[in-house]
Amino acid sequence: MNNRVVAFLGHPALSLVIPPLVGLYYGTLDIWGDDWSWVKDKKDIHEIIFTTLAAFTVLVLFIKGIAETAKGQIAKKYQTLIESMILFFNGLVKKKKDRFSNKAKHIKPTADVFKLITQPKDQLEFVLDGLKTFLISGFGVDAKNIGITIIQGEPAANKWWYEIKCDRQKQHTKPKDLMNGSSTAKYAFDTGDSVFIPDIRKGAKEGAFINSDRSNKSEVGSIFCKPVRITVSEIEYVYLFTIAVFGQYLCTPYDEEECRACEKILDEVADRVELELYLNSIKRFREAGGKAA
Amino acid sequence: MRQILMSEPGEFKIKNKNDHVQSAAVKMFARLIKKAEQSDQAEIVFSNKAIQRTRL
Repeated sequence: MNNRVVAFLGHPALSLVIPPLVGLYYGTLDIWGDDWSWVKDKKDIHEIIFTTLAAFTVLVLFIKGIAETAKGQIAKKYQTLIESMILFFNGLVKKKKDRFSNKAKHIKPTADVFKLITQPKDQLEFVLDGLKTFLISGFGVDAKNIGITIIQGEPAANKWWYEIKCDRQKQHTKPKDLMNGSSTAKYAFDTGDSVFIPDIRKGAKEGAFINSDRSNKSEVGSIFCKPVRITVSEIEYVYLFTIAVFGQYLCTPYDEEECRACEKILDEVADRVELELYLNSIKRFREAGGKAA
Repeated sequence: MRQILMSEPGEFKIKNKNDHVQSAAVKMFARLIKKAEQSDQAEIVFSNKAIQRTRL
C-alpha cells in the first residue's frame, strides 16, 4: 500500500491534472476533429492516444479510490493505537498521582515517606493490567491469548519465582523449569539482551523458546522478553519481564520493518516496567535491611 | 542491546493472513515514538540465528 507505484498513482496532482486533460483532448477531437488537419489526418494515432489516456484515467481514479479507503482505515487504526497508548500511560500517571495525593493529605512529619508512597508491586500489577488492555485495544489481541509475567530469581541459588502474573488464574510453566530449559526467559537472561521473537516456532527451532501445553495447542504466537538486572548497594535483583501471545501473531513475522516497529513499542512499554522494578528492588532492599531478597 | 529473532520468508507456513492496515499503523506509530525520543542509543540486532551462550 505504501509502495512507489501506488504513491505515484495516488498522488493528488495526478488525479487533478489527468481527467481535465483527457476531457480537453476529447473536446478538441470532438469539436475540431473534422476541421483541423493534424487531427483528421492522423485519426489512428489520436485513437490510440485517447484510448490510452482514458484507460489511464480510469486506473488512476480506481487506485486513488482504493488508496483513499486504505488510508482512512490506516488512519483510524493509527488513532486507535495512539489513544490506547495514551490511555495506558495516563492511567499509570493517574494511579501514582492519586496515591501521592491521598497519602500527602494524612502524612505526619516523622512518617516514612518512601514506604508510604512507594507501592511498586501494586503499580506493577496495574502496569501489567494496563498493558493487557493496550494489547487488546491497540493490537487487536484476544484477551485469552495474552500472558504477561515477571519472574524474579536468585541465579546463584537457582531459585526462581513469579513475582507478578497478569492473570493469576492462568496456568504458567514453572519458573524453575523455564530458567533451566531452553526458554525465551533463559535466552534473554544468558544474553543479557531483550529479545523479540515474532514467531515462536523460530524461537523453538533456535533453542530460544520452550513449548508448553498452551503454546503447543496454539501453534503460532509471538514472545518478547526483557531481562532486568538491578544492583542496589551490592545486592543484585534479577527479573525477567515477558509478554507472550499464543494463538496469533503480534505482527507479521517475516516483515522486518513491522517487527522492528512492534519491538520498539514493546520496548517502550518495558521501560515503564523497568522503572517500577527499580523501585521494587530498592523497597525490598530496604525492607530486608540490606540483605538479599 | 535489543534483539529480534526473525524467521526467514518461507521458513514456516504462515496461517494468519497479513493485516496490512494494522501493519502500516504499527509502523507509523513506531516512527512517532522514535521521533519523540531524543536519543536511542541501544543497538538493535536482527538475526535469524540464536546467539551462542555460555550456560551459567
